[in-house]
Amino acid sequence: MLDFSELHITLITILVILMALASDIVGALDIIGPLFMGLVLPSGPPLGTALIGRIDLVTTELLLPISFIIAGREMDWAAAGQELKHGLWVALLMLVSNITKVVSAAFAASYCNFSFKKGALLGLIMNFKGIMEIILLIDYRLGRVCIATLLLLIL
Amino acid sequence: MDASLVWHAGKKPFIIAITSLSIPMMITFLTYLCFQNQIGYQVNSKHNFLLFLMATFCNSFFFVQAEVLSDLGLLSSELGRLALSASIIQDFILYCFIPVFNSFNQSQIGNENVIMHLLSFAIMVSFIILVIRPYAMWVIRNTPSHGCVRYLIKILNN
Repeated sequence: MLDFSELHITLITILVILMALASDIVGALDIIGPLFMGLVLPSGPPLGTALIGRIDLVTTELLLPISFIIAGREMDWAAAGQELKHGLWVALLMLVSNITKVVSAAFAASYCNFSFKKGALLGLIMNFKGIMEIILLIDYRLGRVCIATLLLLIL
Repeated sequence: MDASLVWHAGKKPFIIAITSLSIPMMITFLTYLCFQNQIGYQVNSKHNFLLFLMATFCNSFFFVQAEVLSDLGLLSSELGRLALSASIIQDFILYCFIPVFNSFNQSQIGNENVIMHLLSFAIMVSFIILVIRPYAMWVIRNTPSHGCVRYLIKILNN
């Protein structure tokens, strides 16, 4: 493999953390700095692979479970029971957006010479929710209002 | 993630991305307007968060898609590639709206904050583009390239 010097890999890793701090100071969500940095860095074999080989273990095995634990700590089941009505409205909005997404993706795919069934499958694929939504919802600092949505997302 | 994928994606993913982002946004916003009075005051007034929430729900993020599709083993299938390129395009549309959303969020505190926020955000983004990218390019250029790939190419050439 290519051998990048230890100094540069460490420096880029530190820069990622500093960018998160900078975007928090600026007033944006704190994922935006590292996100733009990931867009700007050239992807692929030379630098990207070396970075992945260095950082991947720590992020997936240590930091990702910690972020899930934080998401679970934010949930307050008692408050969710009290504010069930508000949560149901949010769940309705979420349901409407997901169903319309499936239907519109199906129609767009049938416009592009796919079968309708494949289009519906495409819409279902586009509806996958993951870590990004959880991070965003925590970042919005919704507190108790959004518990039902957070719960639905995690389920 | 390669940013140039957006321009090479072709016409089909573009159509799918635009329709599956704009139509759910519109319909969800219409539902929100219909039920605005019945949704509790507490949810409505709390930092206008339903707007941000709708934008989050209607967008599909590239990283999430890539992770789930590679877990399911669908990355190289036709539908998987189509979904990936569509979600890249949707992501880029969302990135264009990030400053707008942020300044909207800041304006709840005070209008002077918006200008400061936009200025400092522009400084941060230009620092990333003008300083970090040349630095990464310099790192790539200045490392010796005697890896396995070069060795393989040599063998193939011989």
